Amino acid sequence: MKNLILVLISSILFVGCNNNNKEIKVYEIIHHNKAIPQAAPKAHDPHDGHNHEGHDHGTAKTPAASTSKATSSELTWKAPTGWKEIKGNSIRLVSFKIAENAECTFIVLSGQAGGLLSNVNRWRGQIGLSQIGEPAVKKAATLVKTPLADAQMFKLVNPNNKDLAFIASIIPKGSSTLFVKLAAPSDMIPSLEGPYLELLKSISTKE
Amino acid sequence: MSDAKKSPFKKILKYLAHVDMFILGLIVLIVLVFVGTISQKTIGLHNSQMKYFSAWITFLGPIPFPGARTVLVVMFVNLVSMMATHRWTKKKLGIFVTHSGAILLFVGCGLTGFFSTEGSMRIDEGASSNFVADYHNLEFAITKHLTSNKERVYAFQEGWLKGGELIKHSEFPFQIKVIEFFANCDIVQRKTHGSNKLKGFAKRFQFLPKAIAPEYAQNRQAIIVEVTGSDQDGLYYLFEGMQIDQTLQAKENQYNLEFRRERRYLPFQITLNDFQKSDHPGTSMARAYRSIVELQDKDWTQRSVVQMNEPLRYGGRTFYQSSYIIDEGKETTVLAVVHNYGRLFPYISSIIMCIGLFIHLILLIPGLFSSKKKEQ
Repeated sequence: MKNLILVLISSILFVGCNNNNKEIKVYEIIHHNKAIPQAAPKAHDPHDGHNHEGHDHGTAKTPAASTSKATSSELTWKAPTGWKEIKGNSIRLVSFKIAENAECTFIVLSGQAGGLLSNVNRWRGQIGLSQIGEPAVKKAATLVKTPLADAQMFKLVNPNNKDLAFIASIIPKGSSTLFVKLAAPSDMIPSLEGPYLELLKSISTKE
Repeated sequence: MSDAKKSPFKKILKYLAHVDMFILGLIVLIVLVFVGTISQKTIGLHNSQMKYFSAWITFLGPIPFPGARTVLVVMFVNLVSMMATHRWTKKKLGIFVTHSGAILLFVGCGLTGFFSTEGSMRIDEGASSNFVADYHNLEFAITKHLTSNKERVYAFQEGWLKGGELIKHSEFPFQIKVIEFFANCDIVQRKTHGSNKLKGFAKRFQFLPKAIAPEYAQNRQAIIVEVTGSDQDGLYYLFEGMQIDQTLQAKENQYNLEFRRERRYLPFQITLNDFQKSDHPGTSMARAYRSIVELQDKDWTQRSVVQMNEPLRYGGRTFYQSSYIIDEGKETTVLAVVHNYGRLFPYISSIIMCIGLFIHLILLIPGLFSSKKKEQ
């Protein structure tokens, strides 16, 4: 019993001595060349000790969370008339301002970026539609041939949500996936479908 | 000398050297190993290790229980006290050496437990790196741009990243309040643009809290901070692995905000000259892969090949070929970097213990013969 008490007292003492990891490190970095990476590409964490197989590991399913470092220099497109092209960043390759409340974006993500089912259901969730199964997703897809690859296009409109609707396409692009998503109020969708298809069919890789 | 005449120090040593304490420690360790192993399934390897083995105190349900760290320290103290108080004779030389080996094992265990670090180093082909990103510890880094190629980094360790903490420094004209920390979250696009208070990435994306996944790597940590006193005050959303710079302007200086894995800079740098991968025929499944690297330390350069079972050892650190990333035709190697001060202790202590047991057996042999003679 005495020993047990000693062990418990020791525990409490050590807990009291334990620091709470609140150090501030201040240091200077001189970049001799641009080679030293400041933000390494986000991929899976390899610390579980086994051999990984590149990006097909599937640890990062959220598209925004598994962003590819793709650049717009790899793709070309032709913006529809009246669509204002806005230079993108590492998440958004490019975006097009169509109206005050309507825009279209290109997002390139590594791997399958969660796959068809999870992405379509995520978009459906964003406009208040219920989740659907894989057969229904495949049925809802419209195949559009583009110079890049065959795109699976989805028109997502919720009759109860007039503020937001999507036309979104998923295009495989080598080891990554290109998402072309148009977001606009539901009443604008029919008029934007034509220009959207025009844009989709113009996407190709640079020679 | 009677017990009553012993000094208080010797009395304490005698008390600490009691064998019951060691046995109790062993029983507690058995319980911890059992509970820790079972809990791995639900809370994951890392969490289980932190909760039961790296902790001073843990809880079995509502009951407080000593963590493995406490038990090992108590056992170490017990063993040292026993060594100090026991009356050693020549006949007990083997036992003395064996116990010395065991003490050395505890010392090695302590060095590993308290000071060893693990992390990863990612290097693009043709590029160099001189830092290791920790596997688990996070930091909030504020980078001030001094010149075109010089930066001053203020890295705040994980202890600062709790809701309500105030991050400030005498060299900043602003302060940052941690609004919320997410151990795991989903990043979703906002349906509508948020308030004007939202800055940068936060304007278009938001974090939705998510249950913590058992595997640490499956969690996406994120943080929401509020900046005041700068030219661009507001709410900033940052997640670990974010590639968009969240910049801040304050008193004509530009600062970068980054939420990332804790970085440890090395006194040398490694360049990836070439990454080679061969696949199983007809598949894209890797059969083998290796990194041809060049280590540069001051004026000295060493070219090495890092591959499975052939790590690079330098400066007390071991670099293992861990993984790779092939993205858009760009090859990146991922090296696991282990810095373990107690690496050699298990080998040395095992040899000492073996020698001790061997001496003990040798010393027992004459006794065996003499007892046989007595029987005859």
